[in-house]
Amino acid sequence: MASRVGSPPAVPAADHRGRAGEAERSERGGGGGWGAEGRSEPFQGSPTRTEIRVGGLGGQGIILCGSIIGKAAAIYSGRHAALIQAFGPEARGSACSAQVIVADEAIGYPYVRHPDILVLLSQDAFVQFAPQLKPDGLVLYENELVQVEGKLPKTARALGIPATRFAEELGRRLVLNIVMTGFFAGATNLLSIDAVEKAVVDSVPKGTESLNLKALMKGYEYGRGLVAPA
Amino acid sequence: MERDGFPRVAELKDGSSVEISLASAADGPALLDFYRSLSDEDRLVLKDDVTTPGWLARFLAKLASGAATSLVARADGGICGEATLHRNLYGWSRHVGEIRLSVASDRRGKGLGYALAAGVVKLAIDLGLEKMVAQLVESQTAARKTFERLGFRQEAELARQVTDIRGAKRDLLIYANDVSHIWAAMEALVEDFRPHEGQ
Repeated sequence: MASRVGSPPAVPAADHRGRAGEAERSERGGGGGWGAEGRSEPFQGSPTRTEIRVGGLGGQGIILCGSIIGKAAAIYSGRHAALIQAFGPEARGSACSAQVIVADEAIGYPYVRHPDILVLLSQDAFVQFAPQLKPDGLVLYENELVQVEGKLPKTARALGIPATRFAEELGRRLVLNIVMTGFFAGATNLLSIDAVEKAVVDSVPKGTESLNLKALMKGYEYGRGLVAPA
Repeated sequence: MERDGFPRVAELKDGSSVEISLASAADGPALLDFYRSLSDEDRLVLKDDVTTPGWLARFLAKLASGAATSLVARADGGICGEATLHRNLYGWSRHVGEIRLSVASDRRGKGLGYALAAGVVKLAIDLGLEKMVAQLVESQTAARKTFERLGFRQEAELARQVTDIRGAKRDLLIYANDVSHIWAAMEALVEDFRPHEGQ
């Protein structure tokens, strides 16, 4: 599915990105870290096209996470987005991933080959997708489910979040994927939190909006905390 | 500080308004004053003796631990109503919350009980709870109607389960509202298995 809604963005795409590269290592327990060499260069995705791969297991809300990112871009930010979803034969527990492309121009090829950003919720997804990451790419991972080890390009960066614990503390492990979506928004600055909030409200069942928005903000603030300038 | 949509002003049926906010430890003395101002008749079937410092200490400890979340209604400088969600943070009933509700006699019949109970129901859903219960006795007709308007239904009746403060035995009615369907919809959404999508 590829979609395009609204007018071209008022702000150049370059202004939407690059904040993750301003980050400093966080002192928070269980927090994220940098890649093997601790580089802090700005996010170097294409100025007009950002490729994102969300990976994990069936039942973690991987596809919903990708869908919200796509909606936030295409419907609430006036950009282009494409979503490709892949899931295994079982409803739960099999490998699952979503390929999302956010661009400022029409998307001719909707598949992700070398992601700029990986959002990972399982070790298998890390093993499978980490080698595909662009050299200066960014890995956002659930740090109680994923161990970042040796498969990343040396100039890539990785930021972790205890999203499962945050979701459980909020009352529902189910919102793990929304915590990760907020973390994505906060750590990348690719999309405005306002657009992502609207996409979440638009995507989740009636009655669950409030908890999902709390989960989103929990992840967002944690992500901002990791990349905020010292 | 605003959180979860509170504080908010509720307009009552008689044109008056009250402020409803999340209770904190600072509300302890005013809560005790509120409960001590209730007549024996009003406290006849309250589950605890809410007029003692010991009750207040236990209540505030539950607030601090998250085992209780409470809304208080304020008007004319004092508390005129209170609704609390009690829950077990662990164990087999951790998905269930119990709602308790008290309203000052001069504010009854004006929609304050409904406003407080509705607020607590929303807090319960926001906390991820799947079921809410309210324990009532047969004489609490107004409270029963309030909870029925919020989707509660009588699920059980326990004969002679309650001893009121005058020593009389009463039947206990368990009202319940199962909101698990809300979270079932969310579970379906995160299933990541949509073989029929796009066909």
